[in-house]
Amino acid sequence: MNRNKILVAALAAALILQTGSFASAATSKELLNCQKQFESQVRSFTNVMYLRLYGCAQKVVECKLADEIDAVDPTTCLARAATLCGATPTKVADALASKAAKVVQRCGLIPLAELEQYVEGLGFFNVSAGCSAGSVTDLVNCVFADARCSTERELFLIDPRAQDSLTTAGIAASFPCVAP
Amino acid sequence: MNIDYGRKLALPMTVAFCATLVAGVARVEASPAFTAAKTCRKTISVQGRNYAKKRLSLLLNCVDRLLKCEIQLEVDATNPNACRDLAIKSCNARLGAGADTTLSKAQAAFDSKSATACLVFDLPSMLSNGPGGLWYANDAECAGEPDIPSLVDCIRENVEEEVDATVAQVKPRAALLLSNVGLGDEFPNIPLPPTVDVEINSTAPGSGTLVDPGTINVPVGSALRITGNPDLSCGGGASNGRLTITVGTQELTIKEPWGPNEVAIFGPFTATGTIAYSIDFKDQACDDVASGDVDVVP
Repeated sequence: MNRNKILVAALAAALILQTGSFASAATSKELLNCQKQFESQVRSFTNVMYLRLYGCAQKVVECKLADEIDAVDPTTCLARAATLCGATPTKVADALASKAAKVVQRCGLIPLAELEQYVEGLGFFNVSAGCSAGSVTDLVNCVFADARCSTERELFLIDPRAQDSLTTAGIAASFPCVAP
Repeated sequence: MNIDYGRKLALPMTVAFCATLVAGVARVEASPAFTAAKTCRKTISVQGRNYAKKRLSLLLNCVDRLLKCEIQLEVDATNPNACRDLAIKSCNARLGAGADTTLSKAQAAFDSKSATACLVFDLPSMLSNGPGGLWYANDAECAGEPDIPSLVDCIRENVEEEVDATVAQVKPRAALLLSNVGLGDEFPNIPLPPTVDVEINSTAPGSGTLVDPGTINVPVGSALRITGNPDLSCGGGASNGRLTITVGTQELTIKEPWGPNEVAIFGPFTATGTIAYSIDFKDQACDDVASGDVDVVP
């Protein structure tokens, strides 16, 4: 129900953007609220994502290390890990969609051009140009995609076996930035 | 009655005893090498994520405070001075280069906890791509580190790049805001946009009369970076000269001692057009104003 409300609000915001029916420039409060929401939702999403991926990689690598160092048969351990990991791509995708919708709900009230400008705006000019964003929704999706990729790379830097672990769990294709 | 009770207890107790034995055997099966590998990997993972979260939070919170002052100035024409003073004090205490800042302490905590946890496992095993290794040799930048503290330090620096990249994406004004309060050099991975550099000078050393910068051309997408030349100093006495620069709705002040470390960055400007600027110079008895236009050109 909540997700439906968010989607409706996001669509409404997108509609406003399409029709361009804004009375005036964004207020300072609207700009700061948008920035705050952006930051808060990206942080929340990257936390959820990291914990999910880390949890999966952790389970798999411990099965493999036990096998490699102590010759413990990993079959049962890996089967358990695969069960835990299997839901990760869907959970991460759901978290991304719901958190991005919350940002669009808040920032969609501000014209894209005002989010892009640095002075009297939030400075998304280069970010927006970098992903050819044509709407606030595009911009939000773009920032979330980049944050997602950064978090995946971060996991790989911290745990260089993570890519192998996710491959073993059969979910590496969903997380292509967990890589050198 | 008591005998029945004893019989009822016998089976669970036996099961518990056997379970303890099995658990004990299982625990014995985990070799010291496996335990060391697990401890090292887990500590780096947990401490690495804690550090990344802390860095992200400190940076975003600092930029938030700075951004609020600037947006309120630009949109509402609110005097930013008190807001900036508080924000700068907070940012310096958390993000400054000193060893006692929150960020420095978080870095030290990651370094020491990770290095300590990995001492038993040792460097070759951490780097090894073979069975039982932690594969850190896959990280080309860190593979050649000579010891565990250096490797841990290298891993942290790589993580910092990713965190800072996220800050740059989520808060694109971060680089300019940090540079304008003297913290830009601490975060080179939050890149500044291209800048047009203008140095404000006086007609002669100590003359107190500004050289008119005239019309300043800035390409779309670039920022205007203003510094003061040391010849500006005039009137002798304390070094308390200041340039208050206004460009459109933005206003920044830079202070003596003049030079490359005291900068005011405006923009970047994202649309062509003309924006008025003024530069107000005060130092002891010297007082001069220059004004003109910033032309934002394609």
